[in-house]
Amino acid sequence: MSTTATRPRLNIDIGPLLEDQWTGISVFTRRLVQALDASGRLDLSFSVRMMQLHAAEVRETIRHGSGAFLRAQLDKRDAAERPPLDPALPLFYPSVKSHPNIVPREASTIHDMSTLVMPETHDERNVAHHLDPLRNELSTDEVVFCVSEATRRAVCATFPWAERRTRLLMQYVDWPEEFAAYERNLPPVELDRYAVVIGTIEPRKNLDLLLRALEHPAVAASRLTFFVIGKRGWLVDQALARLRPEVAQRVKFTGFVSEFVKYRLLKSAEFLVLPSVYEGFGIPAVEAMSLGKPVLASLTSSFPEVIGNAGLFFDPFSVDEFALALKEMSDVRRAAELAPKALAQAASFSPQRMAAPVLDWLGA
Amino acid sequence: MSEGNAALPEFRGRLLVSIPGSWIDRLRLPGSLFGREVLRDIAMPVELRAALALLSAEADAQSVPLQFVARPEIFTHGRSRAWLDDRIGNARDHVILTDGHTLRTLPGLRNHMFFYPRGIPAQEAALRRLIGIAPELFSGLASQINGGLAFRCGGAWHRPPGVHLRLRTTPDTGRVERFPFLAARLHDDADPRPVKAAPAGEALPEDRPVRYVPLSETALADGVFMRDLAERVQRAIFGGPERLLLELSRPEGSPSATDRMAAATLAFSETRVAFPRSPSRNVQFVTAPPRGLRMDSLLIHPGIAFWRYGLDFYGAAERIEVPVGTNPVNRFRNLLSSWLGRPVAVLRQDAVGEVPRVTLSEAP
Repeated sequence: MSTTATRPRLNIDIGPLLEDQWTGISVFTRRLVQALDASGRLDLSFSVRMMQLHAAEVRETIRHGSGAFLRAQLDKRDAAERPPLDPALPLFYPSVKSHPNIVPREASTIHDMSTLVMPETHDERNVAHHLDPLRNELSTDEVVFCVSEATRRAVCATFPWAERRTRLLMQYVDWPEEFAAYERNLPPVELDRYAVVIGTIEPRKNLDLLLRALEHPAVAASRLTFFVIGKRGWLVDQALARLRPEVAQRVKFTGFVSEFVKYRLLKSAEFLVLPSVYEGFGIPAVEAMSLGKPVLASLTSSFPEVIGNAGLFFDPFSVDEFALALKEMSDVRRAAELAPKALAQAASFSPQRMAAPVLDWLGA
Repeated sequence: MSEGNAALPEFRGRLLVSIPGSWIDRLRLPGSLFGREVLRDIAMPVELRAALALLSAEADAQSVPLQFVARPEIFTHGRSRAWLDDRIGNARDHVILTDGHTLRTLPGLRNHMFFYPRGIPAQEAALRRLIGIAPELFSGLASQINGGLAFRCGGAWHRPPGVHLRLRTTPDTGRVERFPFLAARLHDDADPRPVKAAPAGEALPEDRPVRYVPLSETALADGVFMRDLAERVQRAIFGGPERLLLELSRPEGSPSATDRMAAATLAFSETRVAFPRSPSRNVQFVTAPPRGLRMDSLLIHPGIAFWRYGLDFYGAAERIEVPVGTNPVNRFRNLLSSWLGRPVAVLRQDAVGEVPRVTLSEAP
């Protein structure tokens, strides 16, 4: 017997899934859909560009892990024949709300407030994309989902009237099941002792702190190599040029890597370094912790709540504090002590936890 | 509307100050908290330098330490906020030196706003935009320093209480040079006109009263003000009753005196007032206030960071005036008069011949 008729219904705007390469918010959206599906307590519909989509094509898109096919379908001429989104359904935006006040019950997701508090680290168009509709977006939301308490606090400090509408919506990590088997069947990674640094080269990621710290005696003594997962840009080149060649060689840039390569690098690393100045959540921390790796992170915004007692923290502007924390983390006994805490902390972020606030909103 | 009381705040314990994020990357920071010595040798706009001088003088006068916080926005809650609270001790006040792009408050402290780039249109526009996005940030301020910001949100007017900080003496803003007024385009390759500065030490003739007019980008962009000023310049050139000294604006990027004159002559050319193409010493450009200057009149446009001059500068003026024709002139006159503690007059447009001038207020 079908229970569809008795379950609350929810329309999800799957705009982020139209991206070719899924990172960040696309992955967040995919995980949310899967978490809500797994709960079995909602009847999900999907929409984009104010058009209703077939649930089957969205689930097929999720299976592919790319929005290219679905986007091509939407760009066809007959796309106009698709039905408009159903105004009777609550509408959930996993990111910026593209069209406020379309249906009576709306919710959107705030990932971080960096465009408001540090616009100088963003492209002007990105700032406008996030900030121009923000007030309208929040004022027409029944619920404002925030991806961390830090983000929720930032939203409430800026818009006190939105506080009663805010709820936490924290995501989880789901490595593909086959990764563990692949890893077992491959020869071990032979890179000596190393730590992984995840992040792009944008200033907010604060890679400069690590580069400045390389000459510090405590960091030099650690004999660690740092693998930065991300592109190397001219700003980094300038910083590296200031270092002695033998010091500069201790930082390696991987460029873009597949999820599996990231998994392998993390799995064999001693720990993860996150020197970011500001984050909305910090999913790389949960990724590392899910593989038993502790995190050496900036004491900023969301990191303390996400990492908990599975990491060590430092002032993101202090080379000395960073070097001291790195020295402590480089001690294999300390890292071993933190490893089980890392696994436990990562496990606290689950599909059930992600689905719960949405189910609660809809009374499911 | 809550009116400003201009009461001097008591910065109990210590004074915490934050500068715009765009300046943070230019500094070599020892940590999230740092002292004023970090900023000592950094090239920065005169307005920011003067604002820092004002705060330093005030902290010294109140015998409280001045401490800078690099990124207040990262201390949202929990462990990171506890870290900050532990280090700032009994600080109760946070002065936000804002460039208009952000207002990064510290919840729980008394936040005071100091918008320093008064007279720079892009940054004034950024401030207006920010107020439109997040007015609550501004309505929650404990005070605004040397500002007259007022805005309406919903049905209520808001004006953060005003606080006046003044310097006794005008800070050194670089070499003082005087140049004859020349309307020819300084960068016109077809007609290059080298303009020579007056010899150092050459005194101004005392044959007529001096009117001193500081210029800024905002003032240069004010068509009504520039038209009136251009007519006064024209009269002075042709033997009118007063000598005009026009202090050149300081566009961003430390431009040369020639570039600053080019910006001014361009603005004068857009008034369509005709000038002879020969230099005039009845009207002179100055790069900064000449030492020992006596002024019969000082004309301050609302788009001037008036507080960057010390009381010695204003004390050298017989009369202080604001121009008519700019919409917020009365509000600005009240602000300036209150800040100076002396009357400020409105400079009416001169009648032309026997025919009275027509001034329009608002568009119908």
